[in-house]
Amino acid sequence: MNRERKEHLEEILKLREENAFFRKTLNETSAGQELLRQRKEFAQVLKVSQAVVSELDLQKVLNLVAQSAREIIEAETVVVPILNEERDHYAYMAAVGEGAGEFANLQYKIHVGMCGWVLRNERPLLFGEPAEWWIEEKTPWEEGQQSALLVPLSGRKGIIGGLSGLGKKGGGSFTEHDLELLTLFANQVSIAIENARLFQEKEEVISDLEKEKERLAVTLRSIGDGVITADMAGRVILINKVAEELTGWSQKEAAGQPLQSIFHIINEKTRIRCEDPVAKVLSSGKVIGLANHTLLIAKDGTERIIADSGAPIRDRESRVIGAVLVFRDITEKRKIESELLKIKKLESLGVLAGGIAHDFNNILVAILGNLSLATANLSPEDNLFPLLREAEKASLRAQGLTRQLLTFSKGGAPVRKLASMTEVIRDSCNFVLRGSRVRCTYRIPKDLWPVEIDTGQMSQVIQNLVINAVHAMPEGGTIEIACANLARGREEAPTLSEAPYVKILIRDRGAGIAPELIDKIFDPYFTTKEEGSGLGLTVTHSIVTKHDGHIAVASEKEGGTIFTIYLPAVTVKVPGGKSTPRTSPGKGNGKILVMDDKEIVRTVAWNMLTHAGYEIVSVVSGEEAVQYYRKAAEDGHPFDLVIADLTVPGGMGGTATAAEIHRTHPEAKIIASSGYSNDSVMADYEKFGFCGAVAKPYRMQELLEVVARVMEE
Amino acid sequence: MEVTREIDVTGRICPGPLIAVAKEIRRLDAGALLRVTGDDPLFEETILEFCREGNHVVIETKREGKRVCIVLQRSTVS
Ligand SMILES: Nc1ncnc2c1ncn2[C@@H]1O[C@H](COP(=O)(O)OP(=O)(O)O)[C@@H](O)[C@H]1O
Repeated sequence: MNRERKEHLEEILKLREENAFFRKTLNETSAGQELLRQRKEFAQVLKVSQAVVSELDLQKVLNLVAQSAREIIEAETVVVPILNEERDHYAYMAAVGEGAGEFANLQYKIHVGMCGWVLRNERPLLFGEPAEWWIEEKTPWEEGQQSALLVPLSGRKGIIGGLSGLGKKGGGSFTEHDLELLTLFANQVSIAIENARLFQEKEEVISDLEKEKERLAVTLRSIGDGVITADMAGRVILINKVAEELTGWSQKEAAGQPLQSIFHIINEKTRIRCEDPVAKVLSSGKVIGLANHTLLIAKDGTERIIADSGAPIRDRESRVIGAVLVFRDITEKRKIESELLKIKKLESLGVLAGGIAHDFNNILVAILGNLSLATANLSPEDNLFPLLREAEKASLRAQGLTRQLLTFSKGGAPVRKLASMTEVIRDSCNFVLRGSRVRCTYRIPKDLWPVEIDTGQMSQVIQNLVINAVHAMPEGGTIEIACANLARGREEAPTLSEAPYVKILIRDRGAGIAPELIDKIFDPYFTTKEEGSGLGLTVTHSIVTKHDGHIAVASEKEGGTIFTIYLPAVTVKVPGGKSTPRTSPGKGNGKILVMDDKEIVRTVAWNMLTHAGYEIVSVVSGEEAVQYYRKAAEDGHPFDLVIADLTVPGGMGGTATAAEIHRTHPEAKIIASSGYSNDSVMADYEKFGFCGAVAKPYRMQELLEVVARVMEE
Repeated sequence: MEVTREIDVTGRICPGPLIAVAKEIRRLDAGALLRVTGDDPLFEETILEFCREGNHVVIETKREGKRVCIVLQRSTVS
């Protein structure tokens, strides 16, 4: 209790004693004297009230009020019921005196008890001496009962609670005079209580605002874009974390600086300094976007391509009070864009290359075919033999290249069927490693899940990787190939889905790939080889991606490279795999109809097949083929086999020709032939009514094998 | 049924009797009986309201002049 207040109280007590004294000794007091005394007493109450008013903490105010009231009316106990916001309950928010502890946390409905009556009626209540007893139907006070004195506390907007004295100290009853004093006191302190309440609410609002501010600041700082705000003078107020990173200036250094000095932007091409965007926003009051090709130069000189925009910050009255600048680093995006551009260019190049490759392929048919024929007619001891072999080898390389180009130019989706990678891998490796000094070891589980692949394309993938591995080990060595089932792709690499995958690992022990090159190896035309095309890995990547797969590369320190391929696995049961038995070309016997629009192809086929002993008729179009086939059948010398080119410009292609022939002669055996090894018909020839498929350019061995097999069926 | 506890709050004034009853009832087992006597003018209605709120059963109310005597049974649901 502060000293001042104590003094006031002492004075009150003194006055009270005097008052009592007057009452006892003087039955009559002069009205003037009584008035003077009362005034003095009231003045003291006012002073105590002032001490209460200067306090702002609500609970402290209430405690102080209860204590003071108890002293003023000399009560055993004083409690302070306060109404809740809905005004349907009251709670004892403070209590002093005897049994005060029992009141803690008690809450009652507004219609309960004497307090309830006072709060409802907003009237004081004296349960005591002879005074008028307001609750009429209830019995009035009698000597021996506890007396009670209650007054309402009224705020600016009505009742807020009450003051309740329970039991007069030393027994007996509260008096009307007590009632007057307590009412005066209540009137004074209710404002203090209300103020403290408001103050507390305000504090809560302020702390909410502060929390909100904190949250906004955190949000702003963690936003993914750079954000800088500036005041009307163009000076930096706030700069978030990303902006700190991009500009190289910290919030501390930047605050208060003119924007110009921390946000240094130039035109990428002219390298001329750009106009200060904040100044532009402030002068125009409009949102602005930044010109393309803007380079932000950081404090340390780092240059970044950025995209940004500026906007005015307005207050409630819509006056411009500053500007906010939002920007982001698009250097990466730009890189990707140029990457995409490269791919697009490549695609159009692919279309072009494909066109050329197609013709080129037909020419190769002639060259390879004639070479095969020439060597077949020559004894291996002949001087010309090795020369022709060299020419054949070179032609085969050219054929490989054309095949890459064709895959590329087709660009389309792979034609998939259920297959096992085991076969694809073994076949491709055997093919590539023939006659090489490199060996291959396999670790492939027997139960490797099947995959849905275009086997032609996937063979190319494996071949490309194995060829690169061979190139990496010019002295020879071992390539390790391992496969595994992966139940959940995501566990292995974040780019994969949750689904199961088949993992294929191809490892060589070559020189490895320099770290600065490893990002480039999939780029088209990137090669470190004298005779390289730089297309192998590009095609590989494109095929794997088109199969919804993923390819990764790792170069090992001690030398060696690992390529890893992930392909979506099919984990349902595979229908019994079909494998084609190899047939060796024997002395041919039978009549074959060859349909191709290119003369060189027809000539080569004719040469190869007659060389093998078959009887050949060749035609240039599908219509002719149908005609010849039917005629021969009618004449009793039917064809045993038809080889039909799939693409005939401006005429009936192989598929239509086959359908037409089958219409009248469903038993006819027809082989599809095409320069596009990944033509969907080639991959799935049976579905289109063919008994076999043979890729152009023909190699004698291959052509004869297919022909012999189909003839035998 | 036997009354388990008995309290007299005669002479005590609102909310004293209510506080006393609330305290006593917490000590009783569910279903036990409490007799309480008081003379505060609002005694009866306050105790009856308290019983309604807490689902306690009012077994008996007797008035002798100003004194009211209430027997209540502690709620079985708590
Ligand atoms: N297994 C490997 N070991 C070392 N370097 C490799 C390997 N595979 C690919 N490379 C590098 O990647 C480049 C691109 O390969 P690729 O696209 O297949 O084209 P090319 O083989 O025609 O050069 C190669 O020139 C080589 O530098």
